Amino acid sequence: MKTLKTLIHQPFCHFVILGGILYAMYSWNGKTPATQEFFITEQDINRISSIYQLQFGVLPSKMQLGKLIENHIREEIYWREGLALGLDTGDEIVRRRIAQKFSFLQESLLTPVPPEEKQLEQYYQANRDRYVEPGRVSFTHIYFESDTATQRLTQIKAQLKAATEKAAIGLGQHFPGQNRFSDVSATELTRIFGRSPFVKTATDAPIGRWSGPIQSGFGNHFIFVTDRIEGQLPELHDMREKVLADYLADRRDILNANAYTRLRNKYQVFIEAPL
Amino acid sequence: MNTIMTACRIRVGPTECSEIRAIGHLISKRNHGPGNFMKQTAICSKHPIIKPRSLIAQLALLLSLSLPLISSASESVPSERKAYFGDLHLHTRLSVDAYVLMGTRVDPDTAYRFAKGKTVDYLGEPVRRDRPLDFLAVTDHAENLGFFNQLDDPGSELANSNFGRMIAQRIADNDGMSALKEIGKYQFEGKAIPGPDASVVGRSTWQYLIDTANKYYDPGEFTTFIAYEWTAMIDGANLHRNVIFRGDDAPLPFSSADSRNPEDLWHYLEAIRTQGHEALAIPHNANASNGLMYDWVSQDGKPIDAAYARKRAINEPLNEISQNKGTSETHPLLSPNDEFANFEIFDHLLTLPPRKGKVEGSYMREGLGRGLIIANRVGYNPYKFGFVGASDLHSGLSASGEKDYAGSPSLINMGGGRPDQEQVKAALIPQTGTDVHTGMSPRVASSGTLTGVWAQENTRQSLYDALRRKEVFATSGTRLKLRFFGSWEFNDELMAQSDWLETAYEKGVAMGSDLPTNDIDAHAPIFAVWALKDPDSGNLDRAQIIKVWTANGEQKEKVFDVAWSGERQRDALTHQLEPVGNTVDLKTGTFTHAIGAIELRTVWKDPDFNKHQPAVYYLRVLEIPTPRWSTLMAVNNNLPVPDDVTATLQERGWSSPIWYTPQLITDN
Repeated sequence: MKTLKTLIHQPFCHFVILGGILYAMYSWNGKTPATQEFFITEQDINRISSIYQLQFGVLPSKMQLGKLIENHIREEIYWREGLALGLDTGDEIVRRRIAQKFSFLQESLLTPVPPEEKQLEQYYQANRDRYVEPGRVSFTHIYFESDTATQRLTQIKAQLKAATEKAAIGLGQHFPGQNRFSDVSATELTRIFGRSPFVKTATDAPIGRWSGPIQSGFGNHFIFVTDRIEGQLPELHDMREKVLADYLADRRDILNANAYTRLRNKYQVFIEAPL
Repeated sequence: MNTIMTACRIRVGPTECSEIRAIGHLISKRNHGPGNFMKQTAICSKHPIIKPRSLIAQLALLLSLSLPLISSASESVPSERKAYFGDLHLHTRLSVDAYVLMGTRVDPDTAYRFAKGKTVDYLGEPVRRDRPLDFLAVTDHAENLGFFNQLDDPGSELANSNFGRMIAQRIADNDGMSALKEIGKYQFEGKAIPGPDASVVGRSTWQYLIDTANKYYDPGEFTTFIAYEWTAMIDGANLHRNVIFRGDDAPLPFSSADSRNPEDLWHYLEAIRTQGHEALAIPHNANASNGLMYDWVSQDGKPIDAAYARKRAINEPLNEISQNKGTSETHPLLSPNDEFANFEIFDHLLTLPPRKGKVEGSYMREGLGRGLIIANRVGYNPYKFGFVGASDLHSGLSASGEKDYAGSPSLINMGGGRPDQEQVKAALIPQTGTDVHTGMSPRVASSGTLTGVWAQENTRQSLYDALRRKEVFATSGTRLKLRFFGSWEFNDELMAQSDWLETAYEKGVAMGSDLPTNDIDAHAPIFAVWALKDPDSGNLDRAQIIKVWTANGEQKEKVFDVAWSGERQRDALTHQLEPVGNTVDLKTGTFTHAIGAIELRTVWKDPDFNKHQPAVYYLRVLEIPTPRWSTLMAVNNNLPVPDDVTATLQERGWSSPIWYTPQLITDN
């Protein structure tokens, strides 16, 4: 909406439309009149004044304003003459600017409709991954250096089958950190153990028995998960503002993409060079 | 396809294709630049820059100089402090060199999202950081801040000025180098660009930077700092400083157009401190300072006096030790007995083209020693700084670590574009005029590095206060963690205790601090050393304590290996520790965990201690050799591994130092 409003108020836009109409009319008539008319409105003058004020901090004097308006007229005439000569084609800046304006125009025309409560709820559920509070896990682990023989690890694994959580702690080697963790999220685990199979196992392993051996950036571990809190989706009520903003942003993206697809289908493009 | 009615036909020929490629580098995907904000933001300056010149103002400042506003008492249990990793030095499209020379179009919004680990769009390609950062300071150059971004808008006054047109033309001609040279004629001399007033845009851009930093600040999860870079260059010598603010608001930047003398920057910091704005300045690229960064004299040629020393130490508690344009720890010429001194050295000035700089006065270890000597003379140490690491990349995307840097958009032109096959070749294969000895080869650049901060929580206050007390360390991009404590009374068994950390805080001082005065004659300082590997990087080779001290007015240095992996021996003759070995496979760019340790810990007592000699100690921890980014990039692209730069390197971490100052200075 904002872009449309800004656009409507931009003189450049008026000129493009006005110029376009004039150009079309003259082309229709098939001849160019000897004189052209255009008007400098009060709005134009105010705008010229305020640009000056923005740059220099004060309003222009009467004389300065006269000069600024003269400059503006000169620019307008040059622009019209340039347009008549087709100087706007093949100019990268003009091309880009008009394309940008068109994209703003299109975006502002495609304002998404605010969702019904049911739609928002559906959207919330469908995108739950974005809003869910991360799950947390509590566990004990024992550690063995990375060069520990596989045979030794197999032995430990067998011993752990019958072992309780407490009894097993003594089996491991010194780990430079905690052996017990309470209520940690996967993100925190990644910070501590690196991006390794360890994190996935800690978040997935069955509760109440030893799993392993599993590798981390430090070496080998066996894990005993004592508790796990699954990730929870907060009430929509508590998240409403954020979800609504995301919904509208997503809708806008879809509308834009669709609009472009429709336009794109109007064109057949030939790319004549290898990429 | 045939059923679609064809309303229009567009031809994209070879010319258009190459144009599109060129333009691709220049167009931003988003348009959040300051141009859009300048109209919305009123011209106002809430905090005019104070340039104290009168005697009364000077006196007022001297009184207010006392101490920065810090509430370190609010920190609860020191042993609960965690290591947070981040980058305190990054440029976006708002920096003149990034925009003009490197064609960067990434804005601060994107920079923050990328740092937080979000996937961002980079010229149509989704890119994502290897691991998210905990904090980031966007430090765009204050000089002509956001000014040249107006060239995006053909209607802007700049785009229509003679100077702006000339610059735009050179950018369009792919000649950013000469465009920057033209700008440099004014900017490096502290003069205004001819034509439109840059300060108007600068003010609104600054407000935008403040707003954006606040927008992405997520206490507990991700910290942003309001920051900028003061970019003073004296005859090609780099004296740049990053200014980092503690709060949620900040006055207008003091730029090198205001003054190229760092003493004036400190005046500014002191002046704004009296208005409630706490900030510090971090010098960087001492390696490119041509001997000026740790000079014996101030910029106006006077010997450093107590007032200068005190101001410098208060306003510049940290220095950047390593970044994209080289490492400033030390140089092989200054530390011939340090076998690991030759690490990512870039000893050129940041001139176009680069020329060799003076080594003496340009490296931090030597600076620490000079600080002791000056302190002995004037009673105050000007060069009493902790260490931070940063990227200083100019792509808006902070990439730290070899892997990130090798495959990321941050490589070419100090970070201008995602490398395609051609650019990869240009980076890796020597070309005439840009061999590594000229300083112009992309191969001499390093990956971004990191600052590790021991803080209670991930908030501006907590992290900033840790920066202030120098409880920070730097790494070459890896996330190994270091702890370093000094004391007169640690016992030999300290590191075997399960509560060693609590004891270390209780009976000792942490990195960045002073040892209390020694009143027990018989004792030497004892240091507690602990290092933990980065689980996603190589194992640890060794921990070293580097001691810098003065004897009879001369500065000395010595490197002690204090802990290492495995059962290695020292050479009987050289006392050097046997090398750890190298498991890197240059064909695959991989390494193994067969060598090295995951953790190193020890206590170490200085065997050569003399209580009359001022000394400073810091910890350096080396990882086992791993592939350098240039090797990884070559492997990823099936190209030969470059042989004019090292194929593997030992990533490392540096703790902030601990100082010892004798109570009675007798060593003259």
